[in-house]
Amino acid sequence: MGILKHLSLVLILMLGEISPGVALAQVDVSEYELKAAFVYQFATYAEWPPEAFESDDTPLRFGVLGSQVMANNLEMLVEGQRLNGRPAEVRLLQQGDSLAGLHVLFISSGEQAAALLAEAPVRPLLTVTETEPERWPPGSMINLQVVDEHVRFDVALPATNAAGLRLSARLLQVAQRVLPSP
Amino acid sequence: MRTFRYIRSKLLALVLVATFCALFVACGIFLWYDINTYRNATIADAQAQVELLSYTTLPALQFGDERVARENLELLSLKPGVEAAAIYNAQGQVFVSFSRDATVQIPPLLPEISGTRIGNDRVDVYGRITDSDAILGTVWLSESYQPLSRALEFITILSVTALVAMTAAALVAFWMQAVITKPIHAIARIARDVVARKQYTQRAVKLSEDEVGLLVDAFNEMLAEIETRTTALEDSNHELEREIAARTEATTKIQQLNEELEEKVHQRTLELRVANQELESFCYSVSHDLRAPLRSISGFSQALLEELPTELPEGNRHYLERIIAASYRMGQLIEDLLNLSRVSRVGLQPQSVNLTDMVWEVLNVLQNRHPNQVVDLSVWKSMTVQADPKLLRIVLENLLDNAWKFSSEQEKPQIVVGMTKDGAHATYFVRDNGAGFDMKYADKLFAPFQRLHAAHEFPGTGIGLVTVQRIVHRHGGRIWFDAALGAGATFYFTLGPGGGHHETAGS
Repeated sequence: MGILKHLSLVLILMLGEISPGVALAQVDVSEYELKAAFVYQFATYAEWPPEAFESDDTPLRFGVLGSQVMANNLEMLVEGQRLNGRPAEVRLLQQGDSLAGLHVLFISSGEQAAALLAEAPVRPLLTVTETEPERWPPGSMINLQVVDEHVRFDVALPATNAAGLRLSARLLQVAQRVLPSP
Repeated sequence: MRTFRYIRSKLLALVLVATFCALFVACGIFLWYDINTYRNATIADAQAQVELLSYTTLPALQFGDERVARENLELLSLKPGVEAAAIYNAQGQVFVSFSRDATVQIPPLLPEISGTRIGNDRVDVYGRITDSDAILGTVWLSESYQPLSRALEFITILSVTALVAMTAAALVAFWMQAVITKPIHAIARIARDVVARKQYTQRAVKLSEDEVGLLVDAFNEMLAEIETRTTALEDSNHELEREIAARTEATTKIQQLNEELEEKVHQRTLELRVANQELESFCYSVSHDLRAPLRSISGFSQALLEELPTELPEGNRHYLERIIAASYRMGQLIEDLLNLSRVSRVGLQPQSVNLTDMVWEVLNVLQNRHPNQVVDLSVWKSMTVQADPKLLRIVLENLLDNAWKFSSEQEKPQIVVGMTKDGAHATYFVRDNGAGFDMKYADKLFAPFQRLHAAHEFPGTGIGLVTVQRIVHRHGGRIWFDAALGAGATFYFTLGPGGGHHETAGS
């Protein structure tokens, strides 16, 4: 990694634009900037089965359903970065778009996540939603919420296991709630 | 080292000093090692904690989860050494902190210093939390580090250990010293016993093969040597005693013999004296009695010669004259013999005599007797002697008469009378430049009737010098001479004991 890129990332983090260690109110950071950072980090703690990638150079693809802001924020983070040794790219999806080739899927609160996920075939795809906890749909692996102006997340291990994904225990450690595998 | 008078004290001191030195050095090295280890361990521990924390809190920091971070941090309360810890975010603000008690101040902002800092009582370690080269925050951990109290604790333990070790060493040494000192005491006891009772047959018992054993061997050898020597000395003493006894006996015998001998000598001397006296009185009476018939022979021959001056033929006259001369000579002989016996018999009456005057008197008589002779006379002045004057006069008459007589043939006869002094003893001499004599006849000079010259050459009876010698001897002096044929003679004599250097040759 070049020194310029390294410096730029440090600068971004240091400027606090997406600094996760602070509450939303404290710094003037938008909710989706923070959530984009979370999704980005989730990818770093996740491990896909080998068949999820065609080759070693196959980029890690983020899919954002129903949120232009989120897609833009993610795009900013991902640009020029390599995630788990791979390049990354972000796609903004519409209802009905194919989910094939995606590795991470963010479904914004405006979408019918439950229905979508119910229809979707089981594949190694890390699904992230942002619903009320009580309406956390089955098939969503990570659910983001805002608690006391802090972004928190829950993890459902049965879903990840079913999809053949593995999440790092370190990630689970900082999860607010973890649904254990059966 | 008066305090270490005994070997056991020395041994004890030795053991204690050695133990103390060993303990001191060992403890010093241990202390240094322990403090070093402690320091390194503390730093390594703190650094490991920081590494661990930075790893475990990375997700919490990434997802802004203070709760998880705090939980991680509070696990440190299980580690007693950790005083305080904090996690700072990328902006250097405190994210979460932990403090064992309120005394430790948590820096509200990340100090600029990073790495490891060793303070007086704690070690501060700062570690960056990074995620693929991006710095997400910093972990600060302060761990208690108190080398002084640890050293004190260590020293206390070591002191107690040293005390116990030295006590144990002292006890062991106290017990062990008996092993060393016991044989030495045994030797000392035997040595004292040997000295006190003079019993050299004793031997020390060898209890060990060490230096003390060597000492015992040496001591026993010495005792054996002393025993041998003592026995030899005693034998030699006995031998010596025997010898001394034998010598004493011999000496006693010799003394006895000497006494007997002295007794014999005394007896013989007495006998000899009696015989001598008898002989002298016989000689005197014979001489005395001979005078009367001699006077008749001489007187009647004289009368015959005077009354018949012409009737007698010339030859007969000559016979008569020969008879008269022989009678005269015989008278002289008798006179001298009487003188000699008188000299022996009369008592000595010594007094102070002016020798010089007496010499002159005698010389005057001689000069009157021979008025035609011119003799060069020389007598030392102021010579006085302690002697019997009558006997001394006989001595001088004889010596001077001889001198006069034997120098009369010389062209310029010369007589010298003088003395030499050796300390208090005076030696007198009468010297002439007359005919002298050969010293090989010297032993005949003081024998009676022995004459060195024919009667027709120098008249004399041969008794004069015998008389002189006897007088000198009676005065306790000595007489000797020095002469050469044709070169005169010198007679030396002393009166009284001492003086002189030349024993008389005559008897």
